[in-house]
Formats: sequence, C-alpha cells, structure tokens
Amino acid sequence: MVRQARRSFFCSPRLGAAFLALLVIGLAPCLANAQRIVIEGDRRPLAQALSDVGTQANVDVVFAQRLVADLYTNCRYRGSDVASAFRCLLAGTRLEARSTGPAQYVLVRASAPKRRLGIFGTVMDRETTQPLPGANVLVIDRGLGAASNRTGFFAFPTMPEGPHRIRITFLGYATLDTFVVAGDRVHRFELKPRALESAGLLVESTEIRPGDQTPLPGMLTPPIARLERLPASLGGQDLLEALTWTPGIRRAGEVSGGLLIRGAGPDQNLYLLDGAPVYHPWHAFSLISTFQTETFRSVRVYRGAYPAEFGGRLSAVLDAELTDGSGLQPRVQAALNTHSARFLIEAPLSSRASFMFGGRRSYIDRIIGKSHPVSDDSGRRDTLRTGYFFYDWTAKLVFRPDDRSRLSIMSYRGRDDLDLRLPFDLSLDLSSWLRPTDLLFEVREFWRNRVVSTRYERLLSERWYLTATAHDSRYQAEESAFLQPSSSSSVQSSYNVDIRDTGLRIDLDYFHSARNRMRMGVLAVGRDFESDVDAVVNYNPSLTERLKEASNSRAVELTAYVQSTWLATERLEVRSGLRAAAFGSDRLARLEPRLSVQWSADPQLLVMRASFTRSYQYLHRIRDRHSVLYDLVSSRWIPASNSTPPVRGTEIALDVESRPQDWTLRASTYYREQVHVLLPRDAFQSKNELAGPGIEVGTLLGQYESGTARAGGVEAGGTYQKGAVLATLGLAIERSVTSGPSDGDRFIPARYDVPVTTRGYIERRGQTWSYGLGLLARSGYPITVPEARYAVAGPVDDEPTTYLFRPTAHNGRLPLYWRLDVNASRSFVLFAAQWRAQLQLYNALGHRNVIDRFFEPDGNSVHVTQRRGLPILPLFELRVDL
Amino acid sequence: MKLLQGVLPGLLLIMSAACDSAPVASDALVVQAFFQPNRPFPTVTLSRAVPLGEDGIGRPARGADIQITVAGLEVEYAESPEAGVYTAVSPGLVAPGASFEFVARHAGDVATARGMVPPPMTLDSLRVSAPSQPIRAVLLDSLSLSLDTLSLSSTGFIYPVDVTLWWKTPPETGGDYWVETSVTPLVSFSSRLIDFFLPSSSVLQEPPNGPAPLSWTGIYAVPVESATTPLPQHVLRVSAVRGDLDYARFALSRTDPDRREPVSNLTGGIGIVAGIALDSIRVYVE
Repeated sequence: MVRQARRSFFCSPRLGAAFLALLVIGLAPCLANAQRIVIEGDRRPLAQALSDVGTQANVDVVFAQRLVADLYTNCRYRGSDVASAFRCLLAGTRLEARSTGPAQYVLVRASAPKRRLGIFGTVMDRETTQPLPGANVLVIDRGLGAASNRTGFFAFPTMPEGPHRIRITFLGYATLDTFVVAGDRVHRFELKPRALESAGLLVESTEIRPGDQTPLPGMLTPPIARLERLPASLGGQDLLEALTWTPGIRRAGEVSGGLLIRGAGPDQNLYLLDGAPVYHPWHAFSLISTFQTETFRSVRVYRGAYPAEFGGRLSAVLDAELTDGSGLQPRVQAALNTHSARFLIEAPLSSRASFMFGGRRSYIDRIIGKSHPVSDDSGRRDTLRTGYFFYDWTAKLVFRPDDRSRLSIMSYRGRDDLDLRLPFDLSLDLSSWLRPTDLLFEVREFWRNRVVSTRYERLLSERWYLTATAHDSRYQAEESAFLQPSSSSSVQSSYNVDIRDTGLRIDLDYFHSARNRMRMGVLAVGRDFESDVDAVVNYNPSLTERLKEASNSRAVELTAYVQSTWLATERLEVRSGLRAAAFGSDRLARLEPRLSVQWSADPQLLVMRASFTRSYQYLHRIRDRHSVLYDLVSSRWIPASNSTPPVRGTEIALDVESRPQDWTLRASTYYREQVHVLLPRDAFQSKNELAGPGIEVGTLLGQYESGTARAGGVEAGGTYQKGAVLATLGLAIERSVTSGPSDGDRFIPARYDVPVTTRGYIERRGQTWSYGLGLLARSGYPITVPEARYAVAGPVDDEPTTYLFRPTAHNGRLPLYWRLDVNASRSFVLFAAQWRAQLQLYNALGHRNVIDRFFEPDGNSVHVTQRRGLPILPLFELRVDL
Repeated sequence: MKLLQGVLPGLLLIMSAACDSAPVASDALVVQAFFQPNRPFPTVTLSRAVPLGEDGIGRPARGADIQITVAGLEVEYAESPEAGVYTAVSPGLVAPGASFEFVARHAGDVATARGMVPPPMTLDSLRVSAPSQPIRAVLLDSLSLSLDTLSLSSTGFIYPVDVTLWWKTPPETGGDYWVETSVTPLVSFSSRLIDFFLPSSSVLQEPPNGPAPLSWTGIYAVPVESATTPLPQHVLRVSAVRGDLDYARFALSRTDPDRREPVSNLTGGIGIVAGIALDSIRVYVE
C-alpha cells in the first residue's frame, strides 16, 4: 500500500507540476548566483575589486570604507562560487564576507581563531604531595562543580577567557580559594591539612558539596581519617569493619564472615585493590579483613548503583586505592594489638617518586609455639603441632615522570596458615594435650592472595585522560586433613583451589565541556579456576574408598563501556552509561544500562538522587554441602554458562543527603531483584559426610537450584563531627527474601535477612585522653523452627522414628542481637615519637547473645540447644608514629 | 517524629506481609504406605502431626477417605479397628511393575502420591567378619568444643564388624531403581566422630543394564569394656530395599532425625507412599 501510494504521488500530473515549480523556486537564488566570476590578479584597491565581484556575481556587497582603506589585492580567480571569490580577495586582510541573505554580503572583521580555554588542575596534599581524589572543585563565578578523579585531576574545558574564582574543598583540609585564568595549563593545587594531628582532632570542612562527592545513590566516599577513628570489633584498624558503621553494611557472623551489603550475599561484592580484584579479602577465618585502613589513600563504595565502568558483581563495589607514600618526608608507623603487629613506611625516593611498604603478622604462634616434641613414660616420642599465623604485606611504588603522567606498581601478598597435629581426646587440662597418641587429627589449611597491579595514567590533552591498568590476582587455598579416630580407621584428604584472574583495562576520560564529561573503556580478563581433591577413607583394613577428582575451567571476559556525566543545569546532573560484556566459552553477551539523576535543590542542604542499575554477575560461588573434608574455608567459583546463566540484577534506588553545619545526614531507599541466583536445593542439608559426592561442577550444581532473590529497604544515617567529637548513628530497615522451586516458588526470608539494624558510635578525642562508645542492635537471623512432631517408620523398622516437622525454612528468628563496645585511649610523646595506647572492651556488658539455635526431638518434647556469642573481650593496641 | 513513628512500623508490616511465605498447618497429614511386589495391598497408616505444645508423636487420623488405584484398578480401603490404620477391603496381590495412585482425604486435607512397584528384591548371600580383638577408638571427641559446651572427651574399645551382602539387579531397569542397604544391630552404638567411619547404611543406584551382581559392605560397631573383652553375642538385621527415586530421597534423608525430617513424596501431606521391594535377614553374631 505504501509503495502504491508513493507511485501515485509521483505519477500524479498535478502534484508533479507543483513539485517542479517548487524546485525551480527553491533553486532560483542559486541559479541567479551561478554567474561566471573573473578576477585577473593585477594589484588594485580592495574596495574596487569587491565591487567588481559584486557586479559580476549579481550580489550586493556592503562594507565600511574604513575597513578597506589602504588595502590592495592581487587575487586571481576564475569560477562561479561567489564565496570563494570573496575569500580570495580578502586573504590576509583579517576581513571576511558574511552572507546576510539572498545575494547580500557584509564585510566584517574576521573573528579570531577560537582557542580552547579551560581550567585544569591536580589537587594534592601539601605535606605529602599525594593526590587527593574526590576533592571538591567549584568554579564559583560559573556555578560549576566537579570532583577530582583518583589521581586528583579535574578539568573544566570550554571556559570563557579570563580569570575565574576557584574554591577547592576536601575533608580534613583547609579550603583553598584562588583565581585561575582559563588556559590550557594544568595547575597544581596544594591543600593544607587541617587535622591537628598532635591532638588527633579532625576538622572537616562544612563547604563540601555532597553532590560532587557522592553523586550516586548509596555511594560512599568516607575519608580515611574518619575510618581510622571507627574501631574494629576485634581491635586494630580494619577497613571493612569500619564500613559496617554505615547503615546497610554488616558482617555475616558475629565478628566474622563476609560483608553483607543491603541484604545481598558476601559473594556479590567486588573488592578492588588499585584496580585488581581480591577474591578472599579475609584473614583468620574471616575475623579480620586484609584491608588495613591506614594503608589506603581513598575508598569508594558503590552500593547497588554503580557506574558502567564497574560490573561483574551485583551488590557492591569497593574501589580502594593504596596510599602513594609520602612525597616530602619519610613517615613510619608501627602498632601492636591483640592479634597482630604491623608497620607502615612511606617515603619519597626523589622529587617524582615515592613508595609505601606495609606489613602485618599475627603472633600467637610465637607465644604458644608451632611444634611441640612430646614423649611418654614408655619412651615413645612424637611432635605435635599448634601452628597458626597470618601475614600480609603491601608495597606500592609511584613514579611521576612529568606533571601529566603517573605510573604506579602495587603488590599485595597475604597468607593464612593453619597447621595442627593434636590428639582427639583434648580436655580442659591443657597439659594432657601434649603427649604421644595414636588417635589424633592433623589439619593443614592455608589460603593466600597474591595481587599485582600496574597503572599508568596520562593527561593526553586538555580533554583526554588515559588510564591503563593491568592486574594479576591469584587466590589459592589448600585444605588437608588426616584423622585417625580409631586404630583401624582413618581418612587422609587433600583439597586445592586455585583461581587466577589476569586482566587489562583501558579507560579514557573525555572532558567535552564544563558540563559534559564522558568515560569509556575496554576490559579483557582471563580467569582460570582449578580445583582437585584426593581423599582416601579407610573405614577398616578391608574397606577403603578413594575420591580423586579434578575440575578445571577457564573463562574469558571482554567488556566495553561508555558513561556520560551531563550537568544539565546547575542543579541537575544526569549520569548514564552502558556496559556490554561477552563472557566465557558459551559467549554469553549481555548489556547493562545504568542511569542516575542528581538534583541539588540546595548544594549544601538538600541533594536528591535516583538511579536504575542493571548488572550481571558471571561468577557463581558454591560449595559442597555434604563433605566435612573440603570446601571448608576456601571459596569455589564457577563461571556462568548457557546451562548456568549469569545472575541478573536490577536495582532502583533513591537517596537524599544534607550537610547542615557539622552534620552529614543521609536517607536512602532501594529495591533489588536478582534472577538465576543459585540457592541450596535442600535447605536442611549440612555437611555430614566424610567424602561428599565430589567436586565436579555438575555434581556441585546438582546441590543448587536457580531462584530469585529480592531485597528492599530504607536506610537513614547521620554523622556529627565537630571539634573533638565524632558521632555516627545509622538505622536500616530492610527485607531480603529468596524463592526457588524447593520453596514452592514462595518467597521466604533469605539466610541473612535482618529487618532492623541500628548502630552508633560516639567518640570524644581530647589532647591526651579519648573515649569511645559503640552500640550495635539488630534483629536476629532467620532460623528454621519446627512446628510439630510426627513419626514415620521405614519399611524394615521395628519402631517409627520421631521427627520434627519444619514446614517452611526460615520461619523463625533468633532473638535481638545487641552489644556495647567501649574504648579508651591515651596519646603521649615518648622518645620524640607520638604514641597512642588503646584499651577496648568488646561486648563490655558481657551480654551473651544467642547466635544459633538447634532443635532435636526428645520423646514427647523438643530439646533446644543454643549457641551463644562471644563474652566480654579485652583488646588492646599500642601505636607509634615517627 | 510522628511521621517516622507511624510510617516505619507500617512499612515493616507491609514488607513482612508481602515477603513472608504463607503459613503451613502444623498438624499436617502424615501418611505411610509401601506397595511391595507379590505382597497383599499395603496397610495405610494415617496420622496428624502434633503441634509442639501438645503431647504425643502423632494423632491417628480417623474417618479418612482412602482411594488407591493399582494397575488401573481401584482398590477399596476401609479403616481397621486400629485407629488411623486402613486396609484393603478385598484381598489381592500387588504385581511387580504395576503403577499405583494414592489419594487420602482427611479433615479437609488431600494427600496424593503416585509411583511404580519395583521388581522383587532377593539377597543372595552375606558375610560377617569381625577382628579378633577390639580396637581403641575415640568415643567422645572434643572437636565440637565451644565456650558453652566444653566437653571432656573419652576413648574406649569397639569391635568394628564388617557385613558384606550380595544381590542381583533386575534386568533392564533403565536405572530407575535405587537400593537402600543397611546393617542394624539391635543394640546400637553411636559416637559422633566414629559414626563417620561406620557406613551402616547406604543408598545406591542400580545400573541400568541388568542383571548384574552387586555387593555392598557396611560396618557397625559393638562397644566393649576393655582390650581383652571378646565380641559379645548380638543380633543383627541386614536389609536391602529397592525403590524409586522418591524412596531413595526419603531413605537418604531419614537417618538424621536430630537435624531434619525425611523428604516426602506426598503432595498435600508428609510421610512416604512408595513402591518398594525388600529382603531382610536377621543374623545372630557370636
């Protein structure tokens, strides 16, 4: 029909005539100008030549005589283009003929060639010369604001010529007010720390605009100085523990376990250390994180709403940058606390290079000893072992060849090592442990991370900024055991997990204008997953079973992204992005759109944000749910495939932030849905076999089923900081639920669902003494509570067996968990060094929280066993700064 | 403040109502019946689970309506004098390979199940062997040490006794059948650690292309006083039960009543209604 209609239109004689008439009318001016123009090239006055051309081309040329006075031309031209003829005549005169209508030209002074002017700079710490990422830069006269990037760089391209008033603010630093003339030079802005270090006071600027610091809902950019003040549960300084003072972030266990962010599982967080992923960032069976707060320069936490440059996890991204090392003077710090000793050295190597080197090691093995030669009265000898230690060391070297480029190399190594050989029949009499015995167990477990990252950054031009990052991250774990519970039975097993993640990413920032920035990049990552198990179970001399399996897989991920930041008005900022990834041998291809909007009703008092995030997680973390010999501490990851699709997450979030005076107030709400989540097929299955069904991926996946997870919540928090007082209080009200075929597709509370959490900390830090008080109260975790009792007999049973009926998983909840931690510290100077001694009481009131509950049938009643949390624990730390 | 006081509990209530699963009646209908080849129509036991606040391990379900179809023929059932026990009105035998459908109605609940009757099961032979002397073993281990349950461990002596049984798989089963094997001394012994090394029961899938001889070795322990105590006389039951996947799931999950209840194959009820074939032998060990 459409084609027919078209044919009718062109074939209609009337319409065809009308079209022809219009064509003629439209071309008339062109036809009129299509005269032959001839300029001979002899030297003559410009005014005369212009008039000649006007006459020949039948156009009017208007000009002031003063413009052409004393000007001559010797242009030679033959053609029909009047504009070209004028250009020929006016060459070298700084004049141009501008068309002002049909057959009409006006002679004007040619405008000067446009220069690209802008304001470009790097924000640095005056004392250490370290770049300050996230610094607020405000062009006051234009009402424009931006935050410096991870190297402290910022750019406002296409600024009007002339001086501009700039204000730079950063938490803990004196505000810098200055004038800068727009140009193409990269300025260096040095901020002076305002922290009164001798008193430990931190003065924060009240002029920080939250909209520039945390432009995305749920995003956190906590200053390291503040994180250092927030105590870890078990003492010392722990970055991940410090984050748990934020509403919506908590640990899975009482003091251990992964980080749960907004109700998602710990495997849905991506931990980046200078751009390199860390697969298992925990020491001491997840009691202590591998992230030491004081080794970091900046931390950004994206919860749910993260820009397109990040992906691969659904819940959160923790993007941490190690400190560059002091650029002006050496600095040494050392500390000893309840579980470990640590040090940090920073120093300049030259005016353009600096380094940091930090290390930490536990020392309990130094106290109780690793090996213990023992003997008994019969002369029998043995060597028992009680070894456990962890260590990590971090090194970073930064080289700045010029003001426009920067090269950094980072290396992190961490390891936990457990080595036990002890008798089974231990007792409270510790001396009874150290004796030769036949019935014993040996456990040897280690896990380690080795991460190397190299990053090169360069300001290519006033508009382009390049960041290239290469990383190699490796996680290895070994679980070996030998158990001999009787003289005729034993088991020996060895289980290994090896994950290697090697990648290269290129990021380009494009500063299109002061209101429009773009970031784009590509990422190529290869991941290898290897694991093997060899377990030999001797039930008795005539019955032996062996499980020997290996599982290897490899997945390559290619990702490209582009994201835009558009300051639509002075108050409205729109961030949009698209991430495209191709993953694995099945070539899974997915698109991840991201969108966020920020409205600054008042830059200081009311900033509102909203976001939509679609993301995919291509790695599933699973573990064997049967065997007690393996998958105990190690993380086992498998790549997504067509049969096990990646988890798809969709999240919307809203956020309101205000910073009146000395307060930072923030309220957020979010809703997230994840599909293709792997959920345990049998919620009641627990490790109750020696050698389970094996480690083949297919076998393991058989223990899981694909389901849906949802979470939603409201968070509100505030921080007050003035003078010596720091107070932070947070409240999170959230629900997280899951649904799988085994649940009848009904939604039940997720394993870590906690409807209400509140946590607060208040500290007063004086010149000498400081006191802190922390409170945590939250709903108990879900548990499965039996509701009835019944009896069933098997076909050969003489008597029926009584069972407890648990119709729904997670139908109950543990009681409220709460505890109060207190700390006191004293600062003093000794041997020309600054010392700080801290005493901390974990669970100061000794409240024994119920952290698990078990139900067993007991005749006509139910026997309930409760597991209780840690009692009061005294902890200490002694720290010295040189 | 008033807004917060009003909104937050309301929000919690709405979220709780929207997210949590619907409650399930705690007095669920419990069913137990096993269809065996070449045996009379099975006895059906019906009861109601007892809420935890009440006494007893189950209330007999009286006045239930039972509908059973075996090999396409409906079998009439009636309540026997024993409360909650239902038997076939007319005598008859269940044929191997017959399909069955089961429906029980009681107090508004309807429990249904279906399945297939497996080929008969016959144990061909078995062998029992025990060491000449007892061995020392950890009877109460201390690996479960916690701050609340500091327990002293102990060692003692046991006789680990091996029992090997042999049977033949039926021809051409297609891998549809599983066999639950078990050795059960009438006086049982249990120790959390040692139990890991006493495989006294197992569930095995039979190979699809029979007939083939199969064997399984189980171990149980007999505790004794000292290193010189001879093996006490005792009675042992050895059994092998063939069933389908539903029965295999039930068998695998019913051995740990302290931790969980068995997986049920019933819709609208709990318990087990399955086709099985069993052979069981009592052995006197000296």
